[in-house]
Parts: sequence; structure tokens; C-alpha cells
Amino acid sequence: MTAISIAGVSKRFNLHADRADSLKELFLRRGQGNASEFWALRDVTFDIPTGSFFGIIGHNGSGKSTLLRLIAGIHRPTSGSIEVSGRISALLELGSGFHPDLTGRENIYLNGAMLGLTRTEMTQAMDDIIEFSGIGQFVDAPVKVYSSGMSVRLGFAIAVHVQPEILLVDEVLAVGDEEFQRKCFDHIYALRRKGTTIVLVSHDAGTMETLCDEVAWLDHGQLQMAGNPSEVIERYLNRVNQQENDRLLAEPTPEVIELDTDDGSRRGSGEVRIIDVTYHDLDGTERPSGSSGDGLVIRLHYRAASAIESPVFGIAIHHENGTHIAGPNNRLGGVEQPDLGVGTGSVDVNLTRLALLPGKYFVTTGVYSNDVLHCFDSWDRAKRLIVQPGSSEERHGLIDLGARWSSALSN
Amino acid sequence: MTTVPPMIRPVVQQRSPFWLLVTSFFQREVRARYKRSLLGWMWSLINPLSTVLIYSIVFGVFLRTAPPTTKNASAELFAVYLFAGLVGWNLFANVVNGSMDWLAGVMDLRKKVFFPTETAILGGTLATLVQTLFEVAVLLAIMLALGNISFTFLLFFPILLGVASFGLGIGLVISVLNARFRDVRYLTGIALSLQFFLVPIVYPIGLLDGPDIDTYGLPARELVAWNPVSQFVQGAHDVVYFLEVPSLGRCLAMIGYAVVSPTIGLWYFRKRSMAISEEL
Repeated sequence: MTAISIAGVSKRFNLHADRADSLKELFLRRGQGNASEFWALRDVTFDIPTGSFFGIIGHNGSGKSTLLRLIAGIHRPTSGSIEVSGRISALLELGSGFHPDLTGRENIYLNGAMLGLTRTEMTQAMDDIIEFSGIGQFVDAPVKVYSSGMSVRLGFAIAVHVQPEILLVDEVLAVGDEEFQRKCFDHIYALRRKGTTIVLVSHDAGTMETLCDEVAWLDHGQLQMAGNPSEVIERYLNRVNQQENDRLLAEPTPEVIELDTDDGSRRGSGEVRIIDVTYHDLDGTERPSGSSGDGLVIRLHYRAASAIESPVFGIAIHHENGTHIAGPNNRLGGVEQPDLGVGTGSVDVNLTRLALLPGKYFVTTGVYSNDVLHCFDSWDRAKRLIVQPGSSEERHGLIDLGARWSSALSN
Repeated sequence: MTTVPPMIRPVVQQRSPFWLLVTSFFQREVRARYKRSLLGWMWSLINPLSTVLIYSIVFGVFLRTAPPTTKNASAELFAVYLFAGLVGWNLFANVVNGSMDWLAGVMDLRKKVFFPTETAILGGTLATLVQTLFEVAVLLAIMLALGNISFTFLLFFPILLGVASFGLGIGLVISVLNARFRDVRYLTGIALSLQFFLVPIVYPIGLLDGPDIDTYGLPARELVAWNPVSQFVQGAHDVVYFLEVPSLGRCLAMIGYAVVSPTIGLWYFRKRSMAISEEL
């Protein structure tokens, strides 16, 4: 069964900057060919099976949203045909299908009418919609007074409560708070179980791979591949990586430290790398391990291949069973690092009282750019940290909280 | 080379409760009209009455335009004659002008959801008709007071429906053109001012009849007589002022205009309006 059949669809847009907006321009431009046309889609053909969760993936400008608009009937294809069997509900831009002057309730009817539902059918769904959206008494206020969150929630509530046979979703689930997102996904899963065909457009490969039964990949308006999600997404990611590499190669690259071995524990661009991690007493004497409850200095030795503006050093400590125990960095510690020049140096993490109880731990290191958006070096489980019994008397769990006990007798 | 027209068959379209959309836009228009004005719907009356007052002074007093004679001499007032014609004219002009705004008002929506946009224009037309009923009520009160009333007044309603329908057809074409070329709004303004004087509202049609009338070679009489809006306005004069049933020819003309205009308008609108979602 095919819910949506897309056959040889092309879509041409006339770019507006160059268009005749007035009659005068129209006459002046007569005879000149319109050079500013843009093909958003070219000869795209594929079928979307009934009841499937279908993904359309592609980078920005690949034509995926245009295709969704064609399916929703907002635009007409320039050539080719789209056949849709079933009632479509679309979430193209959340909260946008409202008339600002009408109240929430009137907009619910209006939206229902646009989706082909009668007033009676909408009245039946009304309570569910109001409840799901959580807009409360605002339902009788004009939509223009709504916050963006409220219109988003109302839009979603309507779209999923009209019993669509086909639901089109355009990357909108990224908005809203987490609780609402979860509610949305729960509802989408419920629709899917009921056999609703769901078409999701996104550039997020991870979401696509987990959610979709089938994925179509568009690039510059052309269908590259459609079918099994993991295969399509692998090819898509390869292309994305390839393009990113090409772009990086084209840029002047800063000096980086290449790693001679790669066991998968390291990533980052390599302008600066941690080359060793050592442990010391508070007085600086190197030691092979820590001792519970006593002082410990974790020294990160780095080498910088390029000058770096005030980076952020951080460590993470994991128990050998994988539990993440702590993750301090100098920014959180309230200290800014000086700018690094080319060369080597070290950064100390000073622990006056090692809170870890005896056991085996791992230290992971990281060096990030000043805005913490770019990773220069990340070294997963860079060094093992064995903690031996020391002055801490604690025995249970992983850390010594340094608790002090007291009691008071009532009566 | 022939191009195959793109076929799209969203089932949405076929099952859409068209009239629910019309109702929604009607509601919206009724609510939006005169919102944030102190007198609100009173303006529906103040506007035409002030026009009647101004034109009565200009044409009736300064220019001494005499109202046509009718059976009831007490109703032979220029203001009454003027008002009877103005109700129909206002309805026509408001529908034609409004259609551009009604379409523009739902463009944002149409870029995000598919729905038949003619429903917005239909809703607006209905709202204008309701507004016209206020004017009709005032006219009826005046005629009752003057004792110039007959069963023919009932025919006023189908005539108004007809003029609205005729205006709707023109509005459908103009609104879709206006979405593409902004000049259309201004051209429409000019055309309506010209048209106003081509309809016997501020003068009786007999004004053009005398042998000493020099029209400088312009077919003025034909332009006025064969003007579609003229037929409706004269029809209104017939049933409200002269208390006569319009002639068969006029009735047929009115029915014809009221049917043909929206038919062509809707055909053109549906043909062109799919592309307007791409107008930015």
C-alpha cells in the first residue's frame, strides 16, 4: 500500500529579488528571459508506504522541506505528480497555522476545517486538544496574545488529535521543553501504532536512524538514495564528512599534533594535546597512586603546536565500572588559563583531600577552546588512578563525603 | 510543445468542509471590523449616512439636482433617492475593495497550510452583506416614515444579493491579480471612482436624456445604461423608490450578471490561486 506516491516531481521557484512586482516592471522586462529561477527539486520519484515512519534527510537547502510542502499541497509541483491517499495533517512550522485575530478555540475549528474535519468532529476532539496543549483558559483568547510556546503546543495538539492518516513533521520537535517533547514523541508513537503514516524531515541523522523505517536522502533537490535507514544514513554521513574534509582541506590548517597511535580514545583537532598525566603529593613529589583522604595533585602535561587563546582544561574521573564521578574544569573552578604559546607545559588539578575511596578509577582529560565549543584534545581514560587506603575511615560506596555526625535527644 | 499540467490530488481538498472555513473567515471579518473603535458597529451606519448627507448637500443643494418624480410626492427627496442607490453601490465597492484585503489577510496562513483561499473572500463578502443589512434597516425606517413603501421592497434583498455576487466575481479576479501586482489596488481605486459616476446614484438617469445634453461625443448614456452596476442600482431605485417591479430585461440582466461574474471569477481564481503561496 502506498500512502504517498511521488513521481518525477520537479519544483521551480522564481527568485523574488529579480521578479517583476509591478506592471511597469513587467512591461519593461518583457522578452528578457527570467534568469533567476531556482530548481528546488528535480525529478524526484519515490513512494511512501502506508503506515511507515518515513524520513527525508538532507542538508540545508536540499529541497526536503519543499518536498514536504508539495505533499501538504501548499505548493504545486512544476512538473510531475504527487498522489496522496489519506487525510494529511502537517506540522511544518509549529504554531503557524493560526489566524491571529481568532481565538484558540476558533482556530481549532479553522484548522480542523483546513484538514477536512467538520465542526462536530472538532468539538469531540476539543477537550483533548485543550488538555494536551495545556493552554487552559487562554483557549478563548485571540491567538495573537499567545506566547510562542503556547502556539507551538496548540499547533501540535491539533495536528495529532485530528486522527490524521498521514502526519507530516518538519524538524519541529526540536522546540518546546523536554517534557513537551517527550509528550509529542509518545503521541507520535501512539499514532504510528494506530497505523498513521508519518513523514519526518530532518538533517539529524541520529533521530532518523532510530525512528524511521525508511529514509530518502535528498541533495540539491535530487534524490540520492531511498530505502533502509542505516544504509542511507551511512552514505549520507559519508558524504557530509567528505564535504567537511574537503572544506577543511581548503582552509589553512593550524599546526596540529598528529597521533601516532589511534585506539579510538582520542579526538579533537590537536592544536594542543595532553601528552601525559602524573600524580603528585601536595609538596610536588611524584607518586604512582592516590591515597584516600590525603592530598593529591593531578598534573596534566600538554604540548601545544599552535598558540591558543586561554583554553579550558578539564578532567573527568570514572570508576572502573564506568560510573562518572566527577568532571571539574578550570572554568568551573573559577580560574582562567593564560594564553598558551607553542611548546610544552603543565596544569595542576589540586585536591587537598582526595574524596575517592580505595579502588580503581580512570582519569579522562580534555582541552577546549575558550568558548568551550571546540575540542582541541580529548583523551578518554588517559590514565588509571589507583586509590589506596589512606586517612579516610569511610568504607562504603565510592567517595568520602566528609560527613560530620551530631545528634540531639528530644524530650 | 505541450506541457502536461501538474496533477495533484490531495484528498484534503475534496473533503474540506468548505463552509466551515467560510464561517471562520466570516467570524474573523465581523470581529475585526471596527475593532478598537469607540462606536464599533455604529460606523456601519454613520459612514453611509454621512455620505448621504454630504452628497445631498453637494448635489441636492448646491447643484440643485432634482430627484426623479415618483408616485409618492412626500418621498421626492434627493437624499432618499440617493440613499436607495448608495446602499447597493457601497455593497459592490466594499466587496471589490475588501477582496484584496481578505486574500492578503490569509496569505500567511496559506503559506503554511493548504486550504481553498476563496473561502476568505466569500467569508468577507458575507460579512459585508450583514453590514449592508444595517443600512437596509435604516432605509426601511425612512421609507416607512415617509409612507413610501410597498411589497416591492422585498425584492431589494435579492437585488442586493445579486450586486454582492457580481462584486464577488470581480473581487476574486482582482484579489488574485493584486497578490501578484501591487498596482492593481491603485488601479481599482481609480476604476471605482470613475464607475461611481457611471452609475445613476448622485443624478437621475433622465439627466442624460434631454436633446440639449452635449456629451462631447462620448457614449455617456450607453455607458451608464449598459453598466452592470447601473442595472442593480436602477433595480434598487425601482423597488425602493419608485415601488415598481423592475422590467423583465433588467431582471434578466441582473440575474445574468449575478451568475456569470462569480462563475468566471471563481474559475480564474482557482486557476491562479495555487501559485500565490509562492508569492513572497
